[in-house]
Amino acid sequence: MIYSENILLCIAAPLLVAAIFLRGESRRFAVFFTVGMCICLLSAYISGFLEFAGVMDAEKIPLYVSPVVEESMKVLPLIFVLLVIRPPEEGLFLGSVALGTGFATFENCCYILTAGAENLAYILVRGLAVGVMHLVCVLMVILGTILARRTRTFSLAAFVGSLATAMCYHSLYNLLVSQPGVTAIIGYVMPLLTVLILTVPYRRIRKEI
Amino acid sequence: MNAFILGNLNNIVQIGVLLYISYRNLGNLQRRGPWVPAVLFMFILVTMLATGFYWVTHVLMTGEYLYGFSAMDIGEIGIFLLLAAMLGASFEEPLSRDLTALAAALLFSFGNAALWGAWKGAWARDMIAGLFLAFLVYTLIRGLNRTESLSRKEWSAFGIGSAGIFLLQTVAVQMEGTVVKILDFASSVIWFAGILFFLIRIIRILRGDRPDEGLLSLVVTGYTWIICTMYLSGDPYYTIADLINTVMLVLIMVALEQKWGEAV
Repeated sequence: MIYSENILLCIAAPLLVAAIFLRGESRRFAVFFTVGMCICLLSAYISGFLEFAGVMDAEKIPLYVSPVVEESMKVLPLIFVLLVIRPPEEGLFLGSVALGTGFATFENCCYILTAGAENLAYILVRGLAVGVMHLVCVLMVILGTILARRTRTFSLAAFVGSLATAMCYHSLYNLLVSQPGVTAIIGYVMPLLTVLILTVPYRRIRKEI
Repeated sequence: MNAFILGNLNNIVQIGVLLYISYRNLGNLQRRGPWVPAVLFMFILVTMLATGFYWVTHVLMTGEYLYGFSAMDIGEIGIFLLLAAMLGASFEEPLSRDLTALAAALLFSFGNAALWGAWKGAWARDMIAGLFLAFLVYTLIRGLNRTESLSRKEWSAFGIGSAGIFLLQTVAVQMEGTVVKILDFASSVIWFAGILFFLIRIIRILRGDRPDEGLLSLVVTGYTWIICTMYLSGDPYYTIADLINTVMLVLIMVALEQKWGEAV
């Protein structure tokens, strides 16, 4: 058993103190990073509760439930920011990157504390893959949200559709890495490959929207 | 392994086609810059690829079919919503509200969903999917009306055809044995007549000299019709419809490129 709340407090405390001294985008990044970690913990609570309630077995929760819970939870702060603060698109991108990174960082911390950190190569590969996967998913949703704002009449459809895309992508990753062997290797390569393929068109899209 | 490949051949071929279309769409996005429907189409392709891979991997890894409300169902709902958003965004002027179209969409979609539920027993899941299908069908009807792609006679034919399918399938659900096979065949004839109609209409437009504004609406409607055919058919009709569905994906790409050319 790990005390994930204590770990969260230890990592979040310096970040929140730093946020007091920071301004503008740096402060936004620190705050969203912390929010991302909190969301990770809350998602684990929900998945844990569903397991406790007997909705599914412990082995099946990460395959079928966690992707849906995690992606939905990651979207909530972004919806709040979008509806209440109404930031410019650049601010939304920055916030979502920080949120995804915070989420992945906390998940990695908890994983390392649970499974051990002896095998540096494996930890690096897994850490990078999870980090990139969460980032890709949250960027998908935010790109969908920005497009949704533009389509006006179909805004909700585009937003929920892109959320569904992120959930499917996340589910596939979790399924692939659920067993060791070739499938796990494909799973770890998948997020990195996605980033490599999508970087150039993504930059072009970002430049023009 | 060989049995697995044969059993999932359609899925594997479709993944290959999807990879090619994704590559082509990405290339277009890179060259021409972002156009909202094309970016939304990229989301659709990613969802289709993810669900396709998910299906194949799940069967390969666990040897069993999917559990409860899975990524496949979420992906299916996402595809319905994104297709509607893509089509809606391809029109310069927003599509106006139409109560008759809404009623027709609800009737068609919940008629289908009720029959899926009656055959498989997964009522809650099918009704949720039916709701999102209704949204897509509502958008399609308004899109087809806007571009005047179907004549009054053709609309009536589709209405009567759909009613015929619902009637045949409602009887089939309550029967057993050879009667079911005959009723299934009869409803498949109507489904495939619809598919043939869409294919002929699309090919005619593509072979014509000038671009047609309604091509994208027609292709997406054809795709949706095939999806409904698949969900209400057993083998071999399912497999044939699935193969035509793969062709329809390429046609969506072609129609989108044509529309993109007009938009730029």
